[in-house]
Amino acid sequence: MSSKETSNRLNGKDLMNVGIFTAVFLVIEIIVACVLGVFPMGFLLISVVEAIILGIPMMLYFIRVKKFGMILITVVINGVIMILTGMGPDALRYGFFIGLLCELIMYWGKYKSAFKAILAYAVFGLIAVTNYIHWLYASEEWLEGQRANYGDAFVEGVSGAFSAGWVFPVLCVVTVVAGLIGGFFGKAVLKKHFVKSGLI
Amino acid sequence: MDTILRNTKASSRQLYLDPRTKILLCITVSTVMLAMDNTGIFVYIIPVMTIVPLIFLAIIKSPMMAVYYGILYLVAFFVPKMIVAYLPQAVNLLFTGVLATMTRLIPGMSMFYFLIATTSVSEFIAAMERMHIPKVMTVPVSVMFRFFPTIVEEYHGITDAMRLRNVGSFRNPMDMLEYRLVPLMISLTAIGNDLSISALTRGLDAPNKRSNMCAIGFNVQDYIAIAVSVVILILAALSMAFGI
Amino acid sequence: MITTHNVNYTYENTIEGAALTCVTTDIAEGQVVLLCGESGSGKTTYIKAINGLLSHYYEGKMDGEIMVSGKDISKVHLYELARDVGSVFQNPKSQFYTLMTDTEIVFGCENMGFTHDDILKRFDKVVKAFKIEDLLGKNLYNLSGGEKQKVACASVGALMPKIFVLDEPSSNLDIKSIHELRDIIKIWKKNGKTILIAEHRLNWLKYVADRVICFEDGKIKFDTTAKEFFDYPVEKMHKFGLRAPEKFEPKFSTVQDGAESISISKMKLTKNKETILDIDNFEIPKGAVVAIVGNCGAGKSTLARCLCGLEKKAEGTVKLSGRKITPKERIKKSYMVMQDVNHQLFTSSVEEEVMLGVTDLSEEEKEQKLSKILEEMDISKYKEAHPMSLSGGQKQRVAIAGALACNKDVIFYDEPTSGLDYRHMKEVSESIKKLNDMGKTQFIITHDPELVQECCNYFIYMVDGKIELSGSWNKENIRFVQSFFKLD
Repeated sequence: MSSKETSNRLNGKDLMNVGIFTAVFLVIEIIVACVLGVFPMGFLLISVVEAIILGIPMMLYFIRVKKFGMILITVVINGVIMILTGMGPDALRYGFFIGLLCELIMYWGKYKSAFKAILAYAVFGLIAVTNYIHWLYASEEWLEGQRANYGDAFVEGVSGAFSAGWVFPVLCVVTVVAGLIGGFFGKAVLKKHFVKSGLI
Repeated sequence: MDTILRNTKASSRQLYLDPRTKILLCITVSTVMLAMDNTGIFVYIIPVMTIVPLIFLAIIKSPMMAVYYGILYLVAFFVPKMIVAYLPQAVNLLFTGVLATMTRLIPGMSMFYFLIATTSVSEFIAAMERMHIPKVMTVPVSVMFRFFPTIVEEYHGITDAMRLRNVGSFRNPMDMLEYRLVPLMISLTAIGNDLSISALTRGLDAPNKRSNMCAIGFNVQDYIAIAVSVVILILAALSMAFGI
Repeated sequence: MITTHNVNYTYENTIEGAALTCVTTDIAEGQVVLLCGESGSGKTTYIKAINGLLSHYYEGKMDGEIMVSGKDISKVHLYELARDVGSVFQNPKSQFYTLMTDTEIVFGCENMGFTHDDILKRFDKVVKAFKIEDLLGKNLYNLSGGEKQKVACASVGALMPKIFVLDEPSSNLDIKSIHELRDIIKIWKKNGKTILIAEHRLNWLKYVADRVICFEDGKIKFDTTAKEFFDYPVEKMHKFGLRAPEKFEPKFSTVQDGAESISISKMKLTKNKETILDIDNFEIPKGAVVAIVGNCGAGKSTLARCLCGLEKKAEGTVKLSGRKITPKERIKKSYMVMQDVNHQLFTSSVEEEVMLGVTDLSEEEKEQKLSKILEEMDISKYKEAHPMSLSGGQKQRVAIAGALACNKDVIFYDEPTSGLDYRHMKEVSESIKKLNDMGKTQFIITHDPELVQECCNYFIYMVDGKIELSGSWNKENIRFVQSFFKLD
């Protein structure tokens, strides 16, 4: 008798969920970036710390995701905001493919498998890594251009950080591992609280 | 009756600019700042783009932000040069260089602040609808803005509760995360659920074209700003391609 | 206008609400119907059946027929119903979608795709009728619960539906806002709208409602005229689990022997250059149960927050029998049961929750203390349950139990009985009395006259951040509180 829409089109309720969790994602992302960005080494840890902290809220999100497209919207919104804040187009450009990959993993688990959700979440953590791309690969070039301005000694002193080719791949791997840890932790917390209390 | 719904043009609060114009300005500044070259015509454009946010921050009567921007920029510009000689190599690698690159980030971020400070959520949504961005994007974005203050509100409630019970110190970081995030997520999902119900009973899901009461539209000043932005972007593209 | 025929409903997830069994009703156009009953009796589920949420939002099993203004609910979409049925919900803070009053009022109209001029016409009309001109142009986050609720009414009102359904709209409102909400309902009634209101608080609808339907266990218990209903004796109402609209008469006035007292002097708090609390000198006997009453924005919560040491910027001193207590000590000794009790439950079982933060005892002592407290608070059988799976009243008792385990002496409650039926209100008052026997001092911020008369022996009346009147129950004070709570 009931005429609930079971189609795969996103309805109002799904879109509201996307909005809420994207808001939580962005708030945590920005707070972590601001707090860690102050410390000298901190900025390299941003994506790793985020992957752990976001475990609880994002696993709750991923478990609610039952249709194609929700994660992709989150990623696109994040990407557009990164462009507007002057972080460059990488978060949108590469993020789109990361989001697509997450969606495919979720689809692979038929939006039911908890393990696939954790896997998708671990991949999702790479969104934060996209912000490094420009800074790791283009900064050295930029500094070279600034040689006249800053002087040779300066450029020699600081440019090594960006030229180390292994930094980026290592960051990606560490972030995915942190994402798996965060995902399992989030899943455990959800089971302990939300499932036990009957909320999901 | 006096209401913003009757406005037909962007008012002083929006700096008489359409949100789309401001978005373009934002993108222009950050594109120029991120472009790699510092040669040719860029030698002149980059300093100009550095001043632009300062001007806008001053016009919207936000002197504190303008001063803050100035100080931040100067620190990022001069401090690395001064300290590089005195710090060990490792710190220079990870800190001084990063600080120096901040000079390219700060103008873009300040433009973003300017965009947010002078544009209301409904203006954003109106602008998105004019740009024919589909509902699957506009609804999440409006809900997102609606939820930022809610997150802050609920989070304060939870910190108060934690102080009263004296729990959740940094000594057990995982417990702390759990005690903070679980009640927060429970509250947020409950509020989100109520909000969905309330919005759906007011026709959020209607398939027809949504009308929008928010007054946005281009004026002379918009066209000027757009023209300037486009010229700069073209120059940037030319410069990158041919190195003028 | 509204007919339901043999409607049965069960939620897939029972935590979402009560079931309906065999509900058959026929509501004529222009009637104002009050739906009452205990919590979990099905009145809210009935409301959700009428506004289409059961068929289109919740997961569950439904049969029977619901016709609303000639439409079969299960066959039309929610957005098609939006023009016929306007819904106002319980919680003011979770039902606004935009951030500003003006845009919120026209939100529904925009969704419907009405023309610009039409929307402006509707906007003017509804703003004028509800007299909310002074709320225009404001940020919704800065409004009080009552103001938000008025904007919510205006927003559905602008769609001009023929039917309005309100789900416990007064639960979170102060006395003044309830008066204003009633005025809005009167306007709708005058315009011939059909109105359904599910409520626990009944007396404010005495002269507005035409008909009363009482639910019990998902069935209709009785269906009668309002005139007849409001003549029922108080005992009969209580038997049905209903709040009875009787005259305020305090029943709890044990005099404290009053050797010790808590005194406040020169307490002041300013926020954004505005003084929101300003108390010169004030004294309360230790061990009293103090009702803090007053309208929204009078500074009741601020007073409570300052007293328990949560407001860091508050000036002033608090003394216990002459000894000064710093804010840090106060926060150690006091506890607040918040309006949203979900914020203060952290762990995954009741026993863990109660003993959280208790470290200075051996395992054995802990065990003893735990079972004693659980016994006292009557939650022993939920020992292993997750706090979130309990009912609102039980959650409150878990929170109080935690406070007892930490040896807190002063307990604050922020509207502990909003939206509770008679039985649950009674449970809250019983546990307050129990704590009174233990010698705890308690402060209760409330808009609920029945709670005040059941368990408070002292009161504070606040206006604009100042204490206007306070004391124990002498004749004059009783008369004052009577007139303050008067709603009919």
